[in-house]
Amino acid sequence: MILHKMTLDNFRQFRGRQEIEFSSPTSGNANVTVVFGENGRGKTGLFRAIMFCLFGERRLSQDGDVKREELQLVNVSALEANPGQPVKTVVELEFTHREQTYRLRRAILGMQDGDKVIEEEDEKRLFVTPATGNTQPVPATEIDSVIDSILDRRVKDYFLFDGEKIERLTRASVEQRREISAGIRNLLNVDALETAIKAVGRVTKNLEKELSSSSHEDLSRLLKRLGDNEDEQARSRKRLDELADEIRLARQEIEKTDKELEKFNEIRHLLERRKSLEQELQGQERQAADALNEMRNLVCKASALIVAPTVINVFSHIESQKQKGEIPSEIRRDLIERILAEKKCICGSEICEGTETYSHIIDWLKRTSDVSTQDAALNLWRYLSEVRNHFSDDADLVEKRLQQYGNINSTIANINRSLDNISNQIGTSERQDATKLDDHRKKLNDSIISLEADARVSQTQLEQLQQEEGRLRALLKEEKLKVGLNDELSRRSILARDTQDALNDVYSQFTREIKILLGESATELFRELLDKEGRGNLRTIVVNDDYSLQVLDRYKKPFLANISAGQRQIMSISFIAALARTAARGEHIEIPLFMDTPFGRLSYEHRQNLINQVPTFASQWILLATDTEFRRQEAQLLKNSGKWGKFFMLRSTDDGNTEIIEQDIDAAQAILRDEEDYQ
Amino acid sequence: MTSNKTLLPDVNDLIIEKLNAYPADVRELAFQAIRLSESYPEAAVAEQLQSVVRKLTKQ
Repeated sequence: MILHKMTLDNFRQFRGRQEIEFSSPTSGNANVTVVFGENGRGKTGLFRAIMFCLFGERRLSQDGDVKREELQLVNVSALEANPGQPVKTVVELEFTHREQTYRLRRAILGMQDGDKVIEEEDEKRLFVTPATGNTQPVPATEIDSVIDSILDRRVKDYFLFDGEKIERLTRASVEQRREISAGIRNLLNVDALETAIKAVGRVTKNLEKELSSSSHEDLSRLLKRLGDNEDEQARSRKRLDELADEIRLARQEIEKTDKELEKFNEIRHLLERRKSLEQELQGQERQAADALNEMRNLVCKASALIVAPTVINVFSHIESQKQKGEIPSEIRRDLIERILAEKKCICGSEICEGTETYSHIIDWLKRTSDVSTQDAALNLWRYLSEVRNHFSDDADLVEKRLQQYGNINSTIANINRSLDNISNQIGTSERQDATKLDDHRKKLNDSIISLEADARVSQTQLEQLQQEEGRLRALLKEEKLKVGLNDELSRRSILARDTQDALNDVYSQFTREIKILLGESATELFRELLDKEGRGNLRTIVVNDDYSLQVLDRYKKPFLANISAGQRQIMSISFIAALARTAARGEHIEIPLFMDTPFGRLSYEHRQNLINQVPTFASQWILLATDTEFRRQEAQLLKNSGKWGKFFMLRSTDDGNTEIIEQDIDAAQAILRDEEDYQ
Repeated sequence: MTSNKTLLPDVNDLIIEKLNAYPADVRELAFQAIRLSESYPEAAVAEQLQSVVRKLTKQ
């Protein structure tokens, strides 16, 4: 899909008819369009307009809990200028896909009704022009399926990277895992398989219900326990979902409170300081969580350290016996025993009890243990020799991690002290309303900490229940087989359960495969976007079993706890781009890629790599940027790449609307500022 | 950027291929469940599967 032109008519803050012609690979080498504007000017609104035109959807994933009716699409000024009259809002898109040109038009009618604005769908039209040139309208009932076949609505959001989504993926939190799990599920596109699993599950449950009321006592007891376990798991999952929602809502509420607090000039500097400390705190907490995870993974190794002194003692003892020549003994025990029994030496001379020779032979016998014990001792010596070598490496690693964890915790404690200090200063502000808002914010923060702790407990409980379920299922199968030979109901239940397990297994295989696929694709992008230093240290992105992200260093060891905020951001961008590549089902992303303020915490080299690489793997790149992140330096880089085709500025008008102004890219550079301008 | 790592093969073919590793009765019930799920909702699929299970256990 290549976007050519979008026309807006009274859409959100774009009053009247305005258009954007995108830079597209069909008209030359350039495939990058930059849309430049301050916050709130409507950059994201352009992506919203495209999604509205394609799918009739007004909400984007980042709208969170904003209600549908709160998202007004009809331009406010146009409504005010036409009191009591309906105002038409139209978005038109022209794009090509597989050598066919599509012209899609979607309109709504809006009218002011007292305090409310009523919006109704008005028209939806699609025209297709094949390469042969004969334009045909698509019947209204088929428009949605035609559009879905070009871009599946379930994956549409992967083509918009906004700062919030990038930030969300950098957090090692329940939200991150949820986002990745949803992404993978959307990519799988196995609706029939999911329905089949649920349907077979229903059959299994019914059959097991019948079985539990049968006369097989052990079977009934096991089924009852399994049923309780499943109910408990469902409750845990529900609780985890609820906690994730509560955390998300609390975060949104904090953002809202921050905006309110910013109105108080006298505390603004304190708020800014607090924001930056909180960002630092989040980074440190992420590092602490990652370090803790790595320490958990080290538990097996660390537990071996407890027995290190014993291992070393045993090794030294065998070693000394080896040195003395007792292991392996020079003379075999069975030979000495034979000599003593026959009382005859191998040379043929007689050996009598009580003689000096006899005493020597008895001494030999004492020093010689049996062959199998000797072999075992030698094997043990070899094994302990290997284990012993790892002790010092493992001890170093454990010590390093503990020290690192301790340092992070002490930094966290320092930041918390500074935050308390700032909160006290804000709290003693003369403005009562500011103090109240700040108290509210503090409560929200405390509630997030406690909710996250609850989520960790629920996750552990769920994992324990899943392990217990596996054990119960094995017992149940054994019991069913015992009675199943003579019982048709039991045989049916076994078949249904086995089929459910088989389908679940296939589903898990798909999930595993797609996790690997995404990890590999994200790694490939990650390595290209990283700066030189990062490329030297960081090797692989992996999606863990619990859907969290991890990055491995060159020794294949988890390294997430040590990477910088910028590297985390690059990791997130690589992962979302991998989702987009996989969703687009190709090496090249054949769907336009929108990036909304992606440069946030990136260093110059990372920005440089992003600017050079994205246009090579995306068919079209639409960069939505503010003045602080798209400066002369970035513009020059983009210009040098030869991929920059169009530049649009979103300018505020006197009546509070936004005007789209196209500028020549040379003229654009004159508008942009230098880095020094911000210092 | 020359790898083929992001290409997803056809999902249905893959499901069938993976199910081939299971016993014949399990495979048959799974195929029927997927086939029915392409056209019917979960409850209707479950209803129809009851008789498939009965038939397969009698064989």
